[in-house]
Amino acid sequence: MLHPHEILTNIIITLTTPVSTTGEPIPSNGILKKKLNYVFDMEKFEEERDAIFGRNFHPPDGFLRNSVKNISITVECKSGLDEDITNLRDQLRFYSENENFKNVFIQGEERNEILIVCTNKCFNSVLNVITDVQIAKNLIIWRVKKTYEDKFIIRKVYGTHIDEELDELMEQGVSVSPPYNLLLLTPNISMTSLIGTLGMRITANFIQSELEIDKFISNQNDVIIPYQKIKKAIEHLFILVQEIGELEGEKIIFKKRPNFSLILKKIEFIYGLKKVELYDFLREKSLTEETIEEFQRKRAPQRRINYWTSNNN
Amino acid sequence: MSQSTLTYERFITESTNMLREGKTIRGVSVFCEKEAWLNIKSLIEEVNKTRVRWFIEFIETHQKDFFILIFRDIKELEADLNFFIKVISDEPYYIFYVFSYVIQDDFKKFKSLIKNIRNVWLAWIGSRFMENFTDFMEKKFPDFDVSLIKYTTEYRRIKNKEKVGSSIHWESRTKEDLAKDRAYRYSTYKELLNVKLARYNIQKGHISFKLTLSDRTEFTLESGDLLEFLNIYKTILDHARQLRDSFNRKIQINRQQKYIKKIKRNIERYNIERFEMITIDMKEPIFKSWYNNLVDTFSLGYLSNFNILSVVLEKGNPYFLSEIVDLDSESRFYLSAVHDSIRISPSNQQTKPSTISKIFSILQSRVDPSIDMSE
Repeated sequence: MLHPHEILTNIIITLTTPVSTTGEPIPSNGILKKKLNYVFDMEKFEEERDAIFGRNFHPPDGFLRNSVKNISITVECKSGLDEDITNLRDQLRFYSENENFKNVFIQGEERNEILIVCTNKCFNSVLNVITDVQIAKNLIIWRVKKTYEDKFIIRKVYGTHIDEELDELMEQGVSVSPPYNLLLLTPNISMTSLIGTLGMRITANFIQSELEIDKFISNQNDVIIPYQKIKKAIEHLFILVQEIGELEGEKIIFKKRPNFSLILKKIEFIYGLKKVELYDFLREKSLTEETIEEFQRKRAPQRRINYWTSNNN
Repeated sequence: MSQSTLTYERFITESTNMLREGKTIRGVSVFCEKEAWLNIKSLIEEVNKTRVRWFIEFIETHQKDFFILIFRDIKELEADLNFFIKVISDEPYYIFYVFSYVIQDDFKKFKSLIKNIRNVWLAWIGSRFMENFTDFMEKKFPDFDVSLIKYTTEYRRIKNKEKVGSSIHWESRTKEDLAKDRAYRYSTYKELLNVKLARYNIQKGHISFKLTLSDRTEFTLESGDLLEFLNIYKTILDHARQLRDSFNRKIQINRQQKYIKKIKRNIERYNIERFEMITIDMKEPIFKSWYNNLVDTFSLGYLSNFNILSVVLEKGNPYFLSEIVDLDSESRFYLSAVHDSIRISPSNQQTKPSTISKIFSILQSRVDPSIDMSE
């Protein structure tokens, strides 16, 4: 169900943050944190961000920071889906040249480098962009391959890290099993993914008859997204997936006999929508099984792409 | 102390995906007295003192109703066994779901832990519920098609309830066939027959899952949709709760004083607010002699196997009334019988479920094998 971009972000978070999963309920620090002191860093800064960079600015997918060696790594994940490769050139220039960006994100005398984490599928496209673009920063590419089930191998395939130990480790490659679901630790999570993820988590609580929204949000220990954005996403969710129940003030009242297959179908559909398409449905204030089927019929059939094994573009 | 950052919501979302990928999830519902739950950590520590292979750790999360129980292999020969606990209710007693991805043999380790802790027990739905599960689903969830794939019956001696054997049946038989088999076993071998485990195929549109359910609410779910299943399981648990609550019969009598001018005296008026009774329909018994069996059994006075005293209050016509005193728990019941029914009603303010369980056990083994608590 997860978008490949979200899987990549999950992988980076798992490498550097203690994440509990069903398979490993007692979290151990990710290998980069445990061995080399790299931590995942992303502050909650949406309001300030808009003021500094304008509303169209998209921050990188995170930062890896090593306070011992005074190194920071700006992380940009690329899945090769949609338009994300065409933006890469501008993003790289911005991260390396924009003074505001440096002032806000790069701390003091930190040595900063840019890391692109990409799927196997888009490696060649990324390589074409970075050999073409001229920037002053050190550039590195990590390529992610899926091995079996939920295991991924991540390996450095381009450039040299400032940190020799990190360079050696990533040259060899590390194995990682990211959580099955999206963690809400990335500030630039798309509204569709946010609605989908919250939808799944809210539905998981149906065994109670009602749920207080504030209590639900405070129960989610991985949230760095602003409260207002989450509330907005919940409102959107209840416009589109009315089968879950109703919003009554600050409470969610669950339906007595929810139609889970339809709920999951709708949530899956929302995950796959583009931003414009999502707002079209929100304007119409309706999403039915028929409209989903009609929408899927109209949409040009897409080639099934394997992001993790294919090298073709 | 270790703490998990997993949340219930993320566990369910992950499990939904894992089931879709073909993993198997197991679980059970557990009832627990408040005091036992509040002292659960020290109770587990006590159990740990007696364990030689597996060390049990009770892990908290930042959610107050979601916990993880980890069985660690001290010799490190096997991987940890994780059990996820979601508290469903805390009034008047604690109820929680337990989920796990361990194999069946390892799930028994959790059940063995439950047996070792006082005032904690697996919820019970009984053999009759299992036998009638397809009817139950047809009534409560008409959108689902349910078919019985196989079931396991267990035989126990009437005299001492010792397990004699079990058998697996691949052909689904009618309820009448099962009743005939039950009567045959009872009269020929002096054995009671109960369905312990059944495997069903459940289908709703394109969703299909295989469910194995035991009479103690233990389930194994292979593939399928976790949320759809939990919706069904919630209703199964409601049945287990009703059973448990119906055993805890209560009388509530309010007393009011009223002054009557004419006689210049206060009189007391009694108002029965709550007087709960269990009625067992005996219109279709297996044995016609059930009434005589009942009179013979409860006229004995003291039933030593059960530590129960039966004081006969009335007999005849046919009408039988006795007061039953459980010498273990001190709870008391009235047991009455007429030609087509048996009634059990409380005779002190609050009665214990264990006494009802004893009475049913006596009725089932000595009066008629068709009598079951879950009816």
